Amino acid sequence: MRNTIAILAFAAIAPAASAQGFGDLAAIFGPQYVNYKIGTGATEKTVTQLSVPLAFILPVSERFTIDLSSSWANSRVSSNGVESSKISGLTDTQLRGNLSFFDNTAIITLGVNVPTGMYEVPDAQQEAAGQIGSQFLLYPVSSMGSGSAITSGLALAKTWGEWNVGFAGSFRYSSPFDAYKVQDAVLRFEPGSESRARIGLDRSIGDGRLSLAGTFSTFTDDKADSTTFATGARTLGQATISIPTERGEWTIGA
Amino acid sequence: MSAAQRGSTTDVSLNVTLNNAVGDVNPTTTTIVQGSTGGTTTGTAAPPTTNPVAEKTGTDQPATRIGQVTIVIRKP
Repeated sequence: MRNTIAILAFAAIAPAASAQGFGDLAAIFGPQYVNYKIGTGATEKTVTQLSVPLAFILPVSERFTIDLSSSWANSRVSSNGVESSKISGLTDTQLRGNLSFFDNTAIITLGVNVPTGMYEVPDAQQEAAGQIGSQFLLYPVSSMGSGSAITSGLALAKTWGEWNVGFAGSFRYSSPFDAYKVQDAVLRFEPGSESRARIGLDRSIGDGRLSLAGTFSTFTDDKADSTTFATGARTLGQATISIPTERGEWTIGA
Repeated sequence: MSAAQRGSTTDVSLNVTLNNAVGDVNPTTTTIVQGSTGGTTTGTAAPPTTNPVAEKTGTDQPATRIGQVTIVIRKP
């Protein structure tokens, strides 16, 4: 069973100014609390996470924007009320720059992942670190650190009849890092590079909006010390419809 | 009468399409926070393919999304 609470969603936006710069700096944070209860009786296990993502967005000029973001997360594992493991701290920090051109129909993007998160997790924290990384559970923060990485990409958008069509592609290179420290041994992990392509379609429906998107990713092999893992390709389809009502705007996604 | 004149705040501009594309191919925590607050976004972004803080392969998972509610206040 999963419970999610967005405790607070807050955006602090500086007053509009005629010139772009630090006066237009925006800071946003949106804490979330997630609670999974797995199993019943003696085998019951509860995993909770409080995460506080924080982002700063700086429009340097009308065409160039920089954003800086990170999260603080506290994750706990307990069984029948008795805490068995917890991990708490800052995650990696992402710095991204977006440059638009061709009259805002194209964007070049460049991002850097700075390894400010927690690495070499001690034994007592490894259960909590492992639980939040589950493939089947959705935690806002699923890893306390993923190593240095750089991502470059290009996006284009064009109106085609009633539809807006967006094309984008990116390449991500990740450098090796020390992922785990088990007793005295350090496990070196080298994530594979990722190439990603995306096509998106948007159009209005009445007062609302329909968005469709398809994403395809390929990866080179991951390496953990002397062991190699092949991740394979990944395809993802998305559909979102937003409908404004008198009581607000409803968004349904799949 | 346009959607905006009727009070609709849903943005279907080309800029939204472009920003969604960038958010998906180069996602960061900023992408998620913007989606959850609606604070500075110009529209509702589609969820990124992976959680940006877990992008090393083998730990990818779809990012959590929060329903976005936009309150429209009209003149009586």
